[in-house]
Amino acid sequence: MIRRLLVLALFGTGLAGLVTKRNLIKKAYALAIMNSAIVILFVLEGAAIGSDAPLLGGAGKLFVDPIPQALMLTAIVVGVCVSALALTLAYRLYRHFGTLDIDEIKRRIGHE
Amino acid sequence: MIEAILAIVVAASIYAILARDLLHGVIALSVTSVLSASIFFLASAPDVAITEAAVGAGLSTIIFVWAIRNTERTDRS
Amino acid sequence: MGDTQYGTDGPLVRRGKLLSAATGLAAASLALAVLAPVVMSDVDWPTAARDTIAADGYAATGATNLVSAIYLGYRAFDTLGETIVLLVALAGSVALVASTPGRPDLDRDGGPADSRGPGHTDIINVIAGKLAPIVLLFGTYVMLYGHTSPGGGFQGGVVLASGVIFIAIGRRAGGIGRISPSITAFGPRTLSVIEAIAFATVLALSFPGSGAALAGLIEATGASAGVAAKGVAAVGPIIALNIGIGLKVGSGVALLCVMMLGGDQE
Repeated sequence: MIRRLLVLALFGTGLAGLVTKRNLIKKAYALAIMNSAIVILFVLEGAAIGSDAPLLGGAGKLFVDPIPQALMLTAIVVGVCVSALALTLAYRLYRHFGTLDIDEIKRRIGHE
Repeated sequence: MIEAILAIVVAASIYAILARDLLHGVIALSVTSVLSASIFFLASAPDVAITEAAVGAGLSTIIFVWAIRNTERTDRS
Repeated sequence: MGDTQYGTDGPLVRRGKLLSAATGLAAASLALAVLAPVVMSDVDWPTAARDTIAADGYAATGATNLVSAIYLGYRAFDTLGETIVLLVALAGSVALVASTPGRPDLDRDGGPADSRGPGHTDIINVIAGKLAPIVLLFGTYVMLYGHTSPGGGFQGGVVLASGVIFIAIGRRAGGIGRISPSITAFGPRTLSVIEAIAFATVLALSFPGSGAALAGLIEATGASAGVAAKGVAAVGPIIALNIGIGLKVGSGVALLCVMMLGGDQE
Protein backbone atom coordinates (compact mmCIF):
# COMPACT_ATOMS: atom_id res chain seq x y z
CA MET A 1 0.00 0.00 0.00
CA ILE A 2 2.80 2.41 0.90
CA ARG A 3 4.50 1.49 -2.34
CA ARG A 4 1.39 2.21 -4.35
CA LEU A 5 0.90 5.55 -2.63
CA LEU A 6 4.51 6.50 -3.35
CA VAL A 7 4.12 5.49 -7.00
CA LEU A 8 0.92 7.55 -7.10
CA ALA A 9 2.86 10.50 -5.68
CA LEU A 10 5.50 10.00 -8.37
CA PHE A 11 2.89 9.89 -11.12
CA GLY A 12 1.11 12.88 -9.62
CA THR A 13 4.36 14.83 -9.58
CA GLY A 14 4.78 14.13 -13.26
CA LEU A 15 1.20 14.99 -14.11
CA ALA A 16 1.25 18.21 -12.11
CA GLY A 17 4.54 19.22 -13.72
CA LEU A 18 3.18 18.46 -17.18
CA VAL A 19 0.08 20.58 -16.58
CA THR A 20 1.46 23.51 -14.60
CA LYS A 21 5.00 24.09 -15.88
CA ARG A 22 5.26 26.35 -18.90
CA ASN A 23 8.85 25.47 -19.78
CA LEU A 24 8.94 22.87 -22.56
CA ILE A 25 11.99 21.07 -21.18
CA LYS A 26 10.26 20.84 -17.80
CA LYS A 27 7.35 19.22 -19.60
CA ALA A 28 9.75 16.65 -21.04
CA TYR A 29 11.04 15.98 -17.49
CA ALA A 30 7.45 15.45 -16.39
CA LEU A 31 6.83 12.95 -19.19
CA ALA A 32 9.94 11.02 -18.19
CA ILE A 33 8.82 10.96 -14.54
CA MET A 34 5.35 9.69 -15.45
CA ASN A 35 6.94 7.01 -17.61
CA SER A 36 9.16 5.80 -14.80
CA ALA A 37 6.23 5.83 -12.35
CA ILE A 38 4.32 3.43 -14.61
CA VAL A 39 7.38 1.21 -15.03
CA ILE A 40 7.94 1.04 -11.26
CA LEU A 41 4.25 0.28 -10.65
CA PHE A 42 4.18 -2.64 -13.08
CA VAL A 43 7.46 -4.17 -11.90
CA LEU A 44 6.57 -3.90 -8.21
CA GLU A 45 3.08 -5.32 -8.70
CA GLY A 46 4.41 -8.20 -10.77
CA ALA A 47 7.02 -8.90 -8.08
CA ALA A 48 4.32 -9.37 -5.45
CA ILE A 49 3.69 -13.02 -6.35
CA GLY A 50 7.23 -14.35 -6.08
CA SER A 51 10.74 -13.81 -4.85
CA ASP A 52 13.09 -15.08 -7.57
CA ALA A 53 14.15 -13.54 -10.86
CA PRO A 54 12.49 -15.32 -13.80
CA LEU A 55 15.52 -17.37 -14.83
CA LEU A 56 14.96 -21.12 -15.11
CA GLY A 57 17.40 -23.47 -13.46
CA GLY A 58 17.45 -24.85 -9.95
CA ALA A 59 14.42 -26.30 -8.29
CA GLY A 60 11.88 -24.89 -5.88
CA LYS A 61 12.02 -21.32 -7.10
CA LEU A 62 9.04 -19.03 -6.80
CA PHE A 63 9.33 -16.70 -9.77
CA VAL A 64 8.03 -13.18 -10.04
CA ASP A 65 5.71 -12.56 -12.98
CA PRO A 66 7.90 -12.12 -16.09
CA ILE A 67 5.18 -10.59 -18.27
CA PRO A 68 5.19 -7.05 -16.82
CA GLN A 69 8.98 -7.11 -16.94
CA ALA A 70 8.95 -7.95 -20.64
CA LEU A 71 6.46 -5.16 -21.30
CA MET A 72 8.29 -2.55 -19.23
CA LEU A 73 11.59 -3.35 -20.91
CA THR A 74 10.30 -2.04 -24.21
CA ALA A 75 8.47 0.78 -22.44
CA ILE A 76 11.74 2.15 -21.05
CA VAL A 77 13.48 2.11 -24.42
CA VAL A 78 10.50 3.64 -26.20
CA GLY A 79 10.26 6.21 -23.39
CA VAL A 80 13.76 7.51 -23.95
CA CYS A 81 13.03 7.87 -27.66
CA VAL A 82 9.85 9.79 -26.86
CA SER A 83 11.92 12.10 -24.64
CA ALA A 84 14.39 12.56 -27.46
CA LEU A 85 11.62 13.43 -29.92
CA ALA A 86 9.99 15.83 -27.47
CA LEU A 87 13.28 17.59 -26.80
CA THR A 88 14.22 17.93 -30.45
CA LEU A 89 10.78 19.43 -31.10
CA ALA A 90 11.32 21.83 -28.18
CA TYR A 91 14.73 22.72 -29.61
CA ARG A 92 13.18 23.41 -32.99
CA LEU A 93 10.58 25.69 -31.39
CA TYR A 94 13.30 27.46 -29.41
CA ARG A 95 15.30 28.07 -32.57
CA HIS A 96 12.25 29.60 -34.21
CA PHE A 97 10.76 31.62 -31.36
CA GLY A 98 13.72 32.16 -29.04
CA THR A 99 11.85 30.98 -25.96
CA LEU A 100 10.84 27.73 -24.26
CA ASP A 101 7.74 29.26 -22.63
CA ILE A 102 4.70 27.54 -24.12
CA ASP A 103 2.36 30.48 -23.48
CA GLU A 104 4.79 32.88 -25.12
CA ILE A 105 5.10 30.57 -28.12
CA LYS A 106 1.34 30.29 -28.41
CA ARG A 107 0.97 34.07 -28.30
CA ARG A 108 3.57 34.55 -31.01
CA ILE A 109 1.96 31.95 -33.23
CA GLY A 110 -1.27 33.93 -32.85
CA HIS A 111 0.50 37.14 -33.89
CA GLU A 112 2.17 35.69 -36.96
CA MET B 1 14.00 -0.95 1.77
CA ILE B 2 12.12 -0.50 -1.51
CA GLU B 3 9.80 2.01 0.15
CA ALA B 4 12.74 4.11 1.38
CA ILE B 5 14.35 4.19 -2.08
CA LEU B 6 10.99 4.99 -3.64
CA ALA B 7 10.57 7.92 -1.24
CA ILE B 8 13.94 9.33 -2.35
CA VAL B 9 12.89 8.86 -5.98
CA VAL B 10 9.71 10.88 -5.34
CA ALA B 11 11.67 13.63 -3.58
CA ALA B 12 14.23 13.86 -6.36
CA SER B 13 11.48 13.99 -8.98
CA ILE B 14 9.74 16.84 -7.18
CA TYR B 15 13.06 18.66 -7.05
CA ALA B 16 13.57 18.04 -10.77
CA ILE B 17 10.20 19.60 -11.54
CA LEU B 18 10.69 22.60 -9.23
CA ALA B 19 14.37 23.42 -9.79
CA ARG B 20 14.95 26.74 -11.54
CA ASP B 21 18.25 25.53 -12.94
CA LEU B 22 17.36 22.90 -15.55
CA LEU B 23 20.78 21.29 -15.28
CA HIS B 24 20.12 20.53 -11.60
CA GLY B 25 16.88 18.95 -12.72
CA VAL B 26 18.74 16.64 -15.12
CA ILE B 27 21.06 15.50 -12.36
CA ALA B 28 18.05 14.81 -10.11
CA LEU B 29 16.42 12.84 -12.93
CA SER B 30 19.47 10.65 -13.43
CA VAL B 31 19.57 10.07 -9.66
CA THR B 32 15.98 8.86 -9.85
CA SER B 33 16.93 6.54 -12.72
CA VAL B 34 19.81 4.95 -10.85
CA LEU B 35 17.64 4.51 -7.76
CA SER B 36 14.84 3.04 -9.91
CA ALA B 37 17.35 0.55 -11.28
CA SER B 38 18.18 -0.55 -7.74
CA ILE B 39 14.46 -0.89 -6.99
CA PHE B 40 14.09 -3.13 -10.05
CA PHE B 41 17.02 -5.22 -8.91
CA LEU B 42 15.50 -5.63 -5.44
CA ALA B 43 12.18 -6.57 -7.06
CA SER B 44 13.93 -9.44 -8.92
CA ALA B 45 13.79 -7.75 -12.30
CA PRO B 46 17.44 -7.77 -13.45
CA ASP B 47 16.55 -7.27 -17.11
CA VAL B 48 14.65 -4.09 -16.41
CA ALA B 49 17.40 -2.95 -14.04
CA ILE B 50 20.11 -3.21 -16.72
CA THR B 51 17.99 -1.29 -19.20
CA GLU B 52 17.01 1.44 -16.75
CA ALA B 53 20.60 1.92 -15.58
CA ALA B 54 21.97 2.23 -19.11
CA VAL B 55 19.11 4.41 -20.37
CA GLY B 56 18.57 6.62 -17.35
CA ALA B 57 22.10 7.27 -16.25
CA GLY B 58 23.62 7.46 -19.71
CA LEU B 59 21.47 8.07 -22.75
CA SER B 60 18.60 10.20 -21.51
CA THR B 61 21.01 12.39 -19.53
CA ILE B 62 22.98 13.07 -22.71
CA ILE B 63 19.80 13.94 -24.61
CA PHE B 64 18.54 16.29 -21.87
CA VAL B 65 21.93 17.99 -21.49
CA TRP B 66 22.09 18.45 -25.27
CA ALA B 67 18.69 20.13 -25.23
CA ILE B 68 19.64 22.43 -22.35
CA ARG B 69 22.99 23.37 -23.86
CA ASN B 70 21.32 24.32 -27.10
CA THR B 71 18.47 26.29 -25.57
CA GLU B 72 18.63 27.91 -22.15
CA ARG B 73 19.56 26.73 -18.73
CA THR B 74 17.13 28.52 -16.45
CA ASP B 75 13.39 28.04 -16.21
CA ARG B 76 12.16 31.63 -16.32
CA SER B 77 8.53 30.91 -15.56
CA MET C 1 1.57 44.87 -25.42
CA GLY C 2 2.07 41.17 -24.94
CA ASP C 3 4.01 41.56 -21.67
CA THR C 4 1.32 43.50 -19.83
CA GLN C 5 -0.90 40.45 -19.75
CA TYR C 6 1.12 38.95 -16.93
CA GLY C 7 2.19 42.18 -15.22
CA THR C 8 -1.14 43.69 -14.23
CA ASP C 9 -4.16 42.06 -12.74
CA GLY C 10 -6.92 43.35 -14.95
CA PRO C 11 -10.42 41.89 -14.64
CA LEU C 12 -9.81 39.75 -17.71
CA VAL C 13 -6.63 38.32 -16.23
CA ARG C 14 -8.29 37.69 -12.88
CA ARG C 15 -11.11 35.84 -14.60
CA GLY C 16 -8.53 33.83 -16.52
CA LYS C 17 -6.76 32.90 -13.31
CA LEU C 18 -10.02 31.82 -11.69
CA LEU C 19 -10.84 29.79 -14.75
CA SER C 20 -7.47 28.06 -14.78
CA ALA C 21 -7.77 27.30 -11.06
CA ALA C 22 -11.16 25.69 -11.67
CA THR C 23 -9.79 23.75 -14.63
CA GLY C 24 -6.88 22.57 -12.54
CA LEU C 25 -9.18 21.40 -9.77
CA ALA C 26 -11.34 19.55 -12.28
CA ALA C 27 -8.31 17.92 -13.88
CA ALA C 28 -6.92 16.89 -10.49
CA SER C 29 -10.18 15.27 -9.38
CA LEU C 30 -10.48 13.52 -12.73
CA ALA C 31 -6.94 12.17 -12.42
CA LEU C 32 -7.68 11.05 -8.86
CA ALA C 33 -10.85 9.30 -9.99
CA VAL C 34 -8.83 7.38 -12.56
CA LEU C 35 -5.85 6.61 -10.34
CA ALA C 36 -7.52 5.89 -7.00
CA PRO C 37 -8.89 2.48 -8.05
CA VAL C 38 -5.36 1.46 -9.03
CA VAL C 39 -4.05 2.31 -5.58
CA MET C 40 -6.97 0.94 -3.59
CA SER C 41 -7.43 -2.25 -5.60
CA ASP C 42 -7.30 -5.36 -3.42
CA VAL C 43 -7.30 -7.82 -6.32
CA ASP C 44 -4.28 -10.10 -6.09
CA TRP C 45 -1.93 -10.23 -9.04
CA PRO C 46 -2.90 -13.32 -11.08
CA THR C 47 -0.42 -16.19 -10.99
CA ALA C 48 -1.84 -18.25 -13.86
CA ALA C 49 0.29 -16.69 -16.60
CA ARG C 50 3.46 -16.96 -14.51
CA ASP C 51 2.78 -20.64 -13.78
CA THR C 52 2.07 -21.47 -17.42
CA ILE C 53 5.18 -19.75 -18.68
CA ALA C 54 7.39 -21.21 -15.96
CA ALA C 55 6.15 -24.68 -16.87
CA ASP C 56 6.07 -24.43 -20.68
CA GLY C 57 8.39 -21.54 -21.53
CA TYR C 58 11.52 -23.56 -22.01
CA ALA C 59 9.84 -26.26 -24.09
CA ALA C 60 8.09 -23.67 -26.26
CA THR C 61 10.95 -21.25 -26.92
CA GLY C 62 14.20 -22.83 -25.70
CA ALA C 63 15.10 -19.79 -23.62
CA THR C 64 15.73 -20.14 -19.89
CA ASN C 65 15.38 -16.40 -19.35
CA LEU C 66 11.61 -16.16 -19.21
CA VAL C 67 11.58 -12.44 -20.00
CA SER C 68 13.34 -13.15 -23.31
CA ALA C 69 11.02 -16.10 -23.87
CA ILE C 70 8.06 -13.73 -23.63
CA TYR C 71 9.15 -10.76 -25.65
CA LEU C 72 10.94 -12.68 -28.38
CA GLY C 73 8.98 -15.91 -28.30
CA TYR C 74 5.39 -15.52 -27.24
CA ARG C 75 5.07 -11.85 -28.11
CA ALA C 76 7.57 -11.39 -30.95
CA PHE C 77 5.11 -9.44 -33.11
CA ASP C 78 4.50 -7.04 -30.26
CA THR C 79 8.24 -6.52 -30.08
CA LEU C 80 8.30 -5.88 -33.83
CA GLY C 81 5.70 -3.17 -33.28
CA GLU C 82 7.78 -1.63 -30.49
CA THR C 83 10.79 -1.68 -32.79
CA ILE C 84 8.83 0.21 -35.42
CA VAL C 85 7.72 2.80 -32.84
CA LEU C 86 11.36 3.15 -31.86
CA LEU C 87 12.43 3.53 -35.49
CA VAL C 88 9.85 6.22 -36.17
CA ALA C 89 10.67 8.22 -33.01
CA LEU C 90 14.41 8.03 -33.67
CA ALA C 91 14.02 8.85 -37.35
CA GLY C 92 11.96 11.90 -36.42
CA SER C 93 14.51 13.08 -33.88
CA VAL C 94 17.47 12.50 -36.19
CA ALA C 95 15.73 14.30 -39.04
CA LEU C 96 14.92 17.28 -36.80
CA VAL C 97 18.47 17.47 -35.44
CA ALA C 98 19.99 17.16 -38.90
CA SER C 99 17.67 19.58 -40.67
CA THR C 100 17.85 22.40 -38.14
CA PRO C 101 20.17 25.04 -39.54
CA GLY C 102 23.56 25.43 -37.86
CA ARG C 103 23.73 26.98 -34.44
CA PRO C 104 25.02 30.52 -34.55
CA ASP C 105 26.11 30.46 -30.91
CA LEU C 106 28.15 27.29 -31.18
CA ASP C 107 30.97 27.18 -33.66
CA ARG C 108 31.53 23.66 -34.99
CA ASP C 109 35.30 23.97 -35.18
CA GLY C 110 36.35 25.72 -32.03
CA GLY C 111 33.26 26.43 -30.00
CA PRO C 112 31.94 24.76 -26.86
CA ALA C 113 30.77 21.85 -28.97
CA ASP C 114 34.40 20.89 -29.44
CA SER C 115 36.74 19.25 -27.02
CA ARG C 116 37.58 22.32 -24.98
CA GLY C 117 34.13 23.21 -23.83
CA PRO C 118 33.28 23.97 -20.22
CA GLY C 119 33.04 20.84 -18.16
CA HIS C 120 35.66 19.08 -20.21
CA THR C 121 38.11 17.62 -17.71
CA ASP C 122 41.03 15.24 -17.67
CA ILE C 123 38.85 12.70 -15.90
CA ILE C 124 36.60 12.41 -18.94
CA ASN C 125 39.71 12.33 -21.13
CA VAL C 126 41.22 9.40 -19.29
CA ILE C 127 38.11 7.42 -18.48
CA ALA C 128 35.93 7.67 -21.59
CA GLY C 129 38.35 6.18 -24.09
CA LYS C 130 39.51 3.39 -21.84
CA LEU C 131 36.05 2.45 -20.63
CA ALA C 132 34.56 2.24 -24.11
CA PRO C 133 35.92 -1.21 -25.11
CA ILE C 134 34.87 -2.67 -21.76
CA VAL C 135 31.36 -1.28 -22.06
CA LEU C 136 31.09 -2.50 -25.67
CA LEU C 137 32.24 -5.98 -24.64
CA PHE C 138 29.75 -6.07 -21.78
CA GLY C 139 26.97 -4.87 -24.10
CA THR C 140 27.80 -7.59 -26.62
CA TYR C 141 27.72 -10.21 -23.88
CA VAL C 142 24.40 -8.95 -22.55
CA MET C 143 23.01 -8.96 -26.08
CA LEU C 144 24.21 -12.45 -27.07
CA TYR C 145 23.36 -14.28 -23.87
CA GLY C 146 19.91 -12.83 -23.39
CA HIS C 147 18.31 -16.26 -23.69
CA THR C 148 20.03 -17.74 -20.62
CA SER C 149 20.93 -14.81 -18.40
CA PRO C 150 19.50 -11.36 -17.70
CA GLY C 151 19.84 -9.43 -20.91
CA GLY C 152 18.74 -9.43 -24.50
CA GLY C 153 18.31 -7.14 -27.43
CA PHE C 154 16.93 -4.04 -25.76
CA GLN C 155 19.19 -4.28 -22.71
CA GLY C 156 22.33 -5.05 -24.69
CA GLY C 157 21.43 -2.43 -27.27
CA VAL C 158 21.33 0.43 -24.80
CA VAL C 159 24.60 -0.72 -23.20
CA LEU C 160 26.20 -0.86 -26.67
CA ALA C 161 24.91 2.64 -27.33
CA SER C 162 26.59 3.84 -24.12
CA GLY C 163 29.85 2.30 -25.33
CA VAL C 164 29.62 4.06 -28.69
CA ILE C 165 28.93 7.33 -26.85
CA PHE C 166 32.05 6.79 -24.76
CA ILE C 167 33.99 6.44 -28.01
CA ALA C 168 32.40 9.63 -29.33
CA ILE C 169 33.34 11.51 -26.16
CA GLY C 170 36.81 10.00 -26.27
CA ARG C 171 37.17 11.05 -29.89
CA ARG C 172 36.44 14.64 -29.05
CA ALA C 173 38.69 14.52 -26.03
CA GLY C 174 41.62 12.83 -27.73
CA GLY C 175 41.31 9.33 -26.22
CA ILE C 176 40.53 6.65 -28.75
CA GLY C 177 39.57 9.64 -30.72
CA ARG C 178 43.03 10.13 -32.09
CA ILE C 179 41.80 7.82 -34.81
CA SER C 180 40.54 10.26 -37.39
CA PRO C 181 36.76 10.44 -37.80
CA SER C 182 36.93 9.02 -41.31
CA ILE C 183 38.59 5.81 -40.13
CA THR C 184 36.64 5.13 -37.00
CA ALA C 185 33.85 2.62 -37.41
CA PHE C 186 31.43 4.49 -35.21
CA GLY C 187 30.55 7.52 -37.30
CA PRO C 188 26.94 8.51 -38.02
CA ARG C 189 26.98 7.01 -41.50
CA THR C 190 28.20 3.61 -40.33
CA LEU C 191 25.68 3.65 -37.50
CA SER C 192 22.77 4.39 -39.81
CA VAL C 193 23.82 1.59 -42.18
CA ILE C 194 24.03 -0.83 -39.24
CA GLU C 195 20.61 0.28 -38.05
CA ALA C 196 19.05 -0.25 -41.47
CA ILE C 197 20.55 -3.72 -41.87
CA ALA C 198 19.55 -4.75 -38.35
CA PHE C 199 15.98 -3.55 -38.84
CA ALA C 200 15.74 -5.45 -42.13
CA THR C 201 16.98 -8.55 -40.28
CA VAL C 202 14.32 -8.19 -37.59
CA LEU C 203 11.66 -7.72 -40.28
CA ALA C 204 12.85 -10.76 -42.19
CA LEU C 205 12.82 -12.85 -39.02
CA SER C 206 9.21 -11.96 -38.34
CA PHE C 207 7.92 -13.55 -41.54
CA PRO C 208 6.04 -16.75 -40.78
CA GLY C 209 8.26 -19.77 -41.04
CA SER C 210 11.53 -17.89 -40.99
CA GLY C 211 12.21 -18.88 -37.39
CA ALA C 212 11.64 -22.56 -38.10
CA ALA C 213 13.77 -22.26 -41.23
CA LEU C 214 16.60 -20.71 -39.22
CA ALA C 215 16.37 -23.45 -36.58
CA GLY C 216 16.50 -26.08 -39.33
CA LEU C 217 19.49 -24.35 -40.92
CA ILE C 218 21.36 -24.29 -37.61
CA GLU C 219 20.57 -27.95 -37.04
CA ALA C 220 21.71 -28.92 -40.54
CA THR C 221 24.93 -26.89 -40.23
CA GLY C 222 25.63 -28.42 -36.85
CA ALA C 223 24.97 -31.93 -38.18
CA SER C 224 27.23 -31.48 -41.20
CA ALA C 225 29.99 -30.09 -39.01
CA GLY C 226 29.60 -33.01 -36.64
CA VAL C 227 28.62 -30.76 -33.76
CA ALA C 228 25.53 -31.50 -31.75
CA ALA C 229 23.62 -28.25 -32.04
CA LYS C 230 20.86 -29.47 -29.79
CA GLY C 231 19.39 -26.67 -27.75
CA VAL C 232 21.03 -24.00 -29.87
CA ALA C 233 18.77 -24.84 -32.81
CA ALA C 234 15.59 -24.38 -30.79
CA VAL C 235 16.71 -21.06 -29.36
CA GLY C 236 18.34 -19.89 -32.62
CA PRO C 237 15.54 -17.53 -33.67
CA ILE C 238 15.64 -15.85 -30.24
CA ILE C 239 19.40 -15.33 -30.45
CA ALA C 240 19.05 -13.95 -33.98
CA LEU C 241 16.26 -11.59 -32.90
CA ASN C 242 18.35 -10.52 -29.91
CA ILE C 243 21.26 -9.63 -32.17
CA GLY C 244 19.01 -7.85 -34.64
CA ILE C 245 17.17 -5.82 -32.02
CA GLY C 246 20.37 -5.15 -30.07
CA LEU C 247 22.16 -3.73 -33.10
CA LYS C 248 19.05 -1.80 -34.14
CA VAL C 249 18.49 -0.21 -30.73
CA GLY C 250 22.20 0.32 -30.09
CA SER C 251 23.01 1.95 -33.41
CA GLY C 252 19.80 3.96 -33.48
CA VAL C 253 20.14 5.50 -30.04
CA ALA C 254 23.90 5.93 -30.48
CA LEU C 255 23.34 7.66 -33.82
CA LEU C 256 21.04 10.21 -32.24
CA CYS C 257 23.39 10.82 -29.30
CA VAL C 258 26.50 11.06 -31.49
CA MET C 259 24.74 13.61 -33.69
CA MET C 260 23.70 15.56 -30.59
CA LEU C 261 27.25 15.48 -29.28
CA GLY C 262 28.31 17.14 -32.49
CA GLY C 263 30.31 14.22 -33.78
CA ASP C 264 28.89 14.52 -37.27
CA GLN C 265 31.94 15.97 -38.95
CA GLU C 266 32.14 13.10 -41.43
